[in-house]
Amino acid sequence: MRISEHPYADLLRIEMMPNIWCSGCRIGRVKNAFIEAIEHLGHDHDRCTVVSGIGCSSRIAGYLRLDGIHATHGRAIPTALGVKLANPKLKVSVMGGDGDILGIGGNHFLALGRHGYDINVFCLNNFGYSMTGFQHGPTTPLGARTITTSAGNPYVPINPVAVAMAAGHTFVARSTSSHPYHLIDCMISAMKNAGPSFVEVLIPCMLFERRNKIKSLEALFVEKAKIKETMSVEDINQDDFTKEISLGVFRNAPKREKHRLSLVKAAKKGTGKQYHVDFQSMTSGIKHMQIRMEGTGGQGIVQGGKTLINAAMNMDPKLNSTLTKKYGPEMKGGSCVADVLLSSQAIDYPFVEVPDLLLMMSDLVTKERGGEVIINKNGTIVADESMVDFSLLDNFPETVKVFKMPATRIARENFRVVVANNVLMGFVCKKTSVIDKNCFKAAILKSAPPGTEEMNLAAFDAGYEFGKT
Amino acid sequence: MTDAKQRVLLTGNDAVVEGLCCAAGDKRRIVYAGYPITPASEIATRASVVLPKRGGAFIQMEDEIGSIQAVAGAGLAGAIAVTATSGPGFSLMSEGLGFAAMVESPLICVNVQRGGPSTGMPTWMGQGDMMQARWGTHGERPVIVLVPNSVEETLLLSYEACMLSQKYLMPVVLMLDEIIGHMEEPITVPDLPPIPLDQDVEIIGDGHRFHRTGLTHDLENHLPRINPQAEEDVVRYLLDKVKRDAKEIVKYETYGNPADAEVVVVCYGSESRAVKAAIKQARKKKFNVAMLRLITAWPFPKDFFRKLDTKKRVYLVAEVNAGQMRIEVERYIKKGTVRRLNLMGGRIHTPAEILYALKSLVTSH
Amino acid sequence: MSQEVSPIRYWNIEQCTIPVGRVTIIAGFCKGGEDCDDCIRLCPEKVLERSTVSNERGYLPPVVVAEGKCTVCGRCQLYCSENAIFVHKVGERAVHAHEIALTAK
Repeated sequence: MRISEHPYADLLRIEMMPNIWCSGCRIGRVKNAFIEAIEHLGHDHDRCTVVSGIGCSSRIAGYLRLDGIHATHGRAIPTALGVKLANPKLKVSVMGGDGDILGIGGNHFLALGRHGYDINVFCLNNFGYSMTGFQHGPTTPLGARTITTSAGNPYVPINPVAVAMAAGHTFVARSTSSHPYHLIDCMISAMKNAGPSFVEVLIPCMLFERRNKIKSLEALFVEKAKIKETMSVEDINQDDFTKEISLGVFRNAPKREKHRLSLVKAAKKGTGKQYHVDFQSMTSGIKHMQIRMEGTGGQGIVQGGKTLINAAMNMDPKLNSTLTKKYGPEMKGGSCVADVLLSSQAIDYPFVEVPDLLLMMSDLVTKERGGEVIINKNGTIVADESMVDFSLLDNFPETVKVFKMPATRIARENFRVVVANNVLMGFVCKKTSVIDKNCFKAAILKSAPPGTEEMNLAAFDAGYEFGKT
Repeated sequence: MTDAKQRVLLTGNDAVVEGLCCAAGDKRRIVYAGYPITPASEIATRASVVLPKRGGAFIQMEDEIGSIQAVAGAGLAGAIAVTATSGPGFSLMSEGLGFAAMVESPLICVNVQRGGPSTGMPTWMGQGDMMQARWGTHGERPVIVLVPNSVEETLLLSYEACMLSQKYLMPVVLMLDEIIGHMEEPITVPDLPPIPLDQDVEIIGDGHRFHRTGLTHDLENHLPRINPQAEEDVVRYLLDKVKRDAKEIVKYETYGNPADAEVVVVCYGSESRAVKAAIKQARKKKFNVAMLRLITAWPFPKDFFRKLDTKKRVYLVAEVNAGQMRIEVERYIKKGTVRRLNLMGGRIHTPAEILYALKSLVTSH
Repeated sequence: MSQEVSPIRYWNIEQCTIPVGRVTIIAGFCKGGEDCDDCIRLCPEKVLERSTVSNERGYLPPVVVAEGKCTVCGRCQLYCSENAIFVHKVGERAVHAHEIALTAK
């Protein structure tokens, strides 16, 4: 009889065999248990996927005749997540070692518990990095000798079960390769669980045995392990597998308990008044216009730029335009510039070189540049009274129009200071009369956060009225 | 986007998502996995709103390494897989890009470049990742890198990136920079035909039960085969995918007549907009200058340069790094001279600066 | 597993029969010897013994010494890391009283 008549033959990638594991390694048993579990559950073989990382245990994926990915070291979980997202009908399992899943891939392991996707993680814990000659890993027991801790491991190992519980995996169990029937049970329950499942499987490594002069870890597991129906805190906190090992299911929750923070209110839908402004598009007659809005982060400079470009688009949809922004990494307090170019031609260079219209919400940008205000000789400057040092605006030819207006004060006294940019917009609209009032208002409505439309429009009107005086 | 004829204001980052939606049509599933990073965050923001509505999946991963691996997995499972990042994240993704190339997973990686190295300037542009996009992975892999210079082109190239990744089963990198990513321009969303899933391509869950490994493998059954001959076969096969079709893949734009010009300015990305403005001004002054803009940085349009290299002329490579693509231009220019015009990042050259450089190079005026 | 294996592992109580299995050993896959004697050690019917002839890689695979005693419990098959051993049910035989007596040795 040949291997093709093996009862597992349909799920074994026979062309890959014999496998690469050391004599006396029991990783293969985990593979057998996995095959038994899949058969027991009756899953369609074509719909099962095994993803693994790098290491001895990760080779399991290669010996299973299922869709499989042998990913990079530690990245089995995110790769599996990608597969699951692309096709949620697939049954996705991850096979990996302790170094793979808890060491280099620890972050992914934590995040999986939080994301809550139905992925079964089988972590084959052999207490070190065995494929590279047995260096110490995240689970190497304190004092154990490895080739990188020849005087005994000085680091306290992590507790995989406790980490999985804390990370929010909905199924957490521990088994060993010396208890394959128990392991099958754990795997079946893990695959039945609808959330992220984690099964720690202790496996004996020959290299660990030899370095630490242990005769047989397999025998030790059989001797010390106790299969328990219910688990206590002491079972979770076990830290010496040479004394006792509790095997069994630590958590089997149907779904992750979700606690919504009481502060967070569910988004309201379709409530509030609907606003609408009619506007008429027409030819604006703009050939080329450079508008710069500058100020301090938090004053709505970028928002103002958006209002300007949207208003211009409303006015003349055929116009070419660009909006570029320059600001620092901070949300508030840094210098901030929005450049809007309007042109009847294609726009190449997307920044303002010499502005035709300069809107100064504050003088921070100008001062950072050394105090020089650049403006077209026929240009217009609109500056906020309270935020701009007027000594900067003295030396201009008479052709430059300079308007000073109290946008921030109007906003603060009548509305909230955040709408100062719209007060300024109203003023600009009245004074320059390049873009129609209603086009501006429609643009403001488009970008105003829900619930603030009225205030933003009123701020615009206030600025517009101020412009009449 | 109901009325296709209407012009809409989009940023470059938004246009990436729109381009992918065009590629996906109604049938394909888009999987976006990413990690927030300035200046690419807006891509994730839009994807998180748009994709779930279209039956796609959006997930914010725990880091960029997880992101690239997730999209590599999603690509193997038949989705249109995309991730977006910037410099620091792109560095983290290097290994994953090599993995995706090795297992032949089609994915799109968007890199919105910012000033570097390290954290650099998160909100200011840079073009310093051009060579990293080419050589960032250990070992050799095929590389396609597309560099748009406007919002509209970003949309078209993200569609193109999807098509190329599906055709060649490999990661395609879309290199924006902060200016293009954050710039708003009105565009018309074109009617592009959806890109169907190639029926000949094996995907996870279709019954082929294939094994994809990052190890050197047999090209027939994809099982590990580790020996010098296998490495020879695999790497040559991977590299040949792009090398064979390089002529079809390569795209560039010329302005003016490079074959005739005294100075050819080579540029790409947002820098090319300043160059074009400068060339327009220079040509008004009767300078005999032309522009070449790379649309595919990799594969590099080497045939174009070889053909052009018939006489003495100056090639001015204007870029916002210390001269990365200049190295590549120099490889193919033997008769002419290659000069450079560099900024280290934060801004692009102004047209005046480029014009100034051109004045010193042009003799016939 | 191309068939449902589980039921054949158990005794047929009504008819007082027990499955009879055939053990197949793929000697080339086996890594038995000092480090692994799982199939031999764990077989409840002591069907297997260590071979004295090594396979091509120097390991000592098991040999069947008690043909017909296998009850298809499947333990060797599950425990074998290398998938070098498996069992098939070939028939059934009647159970003798002394076999199931608690004092049976």
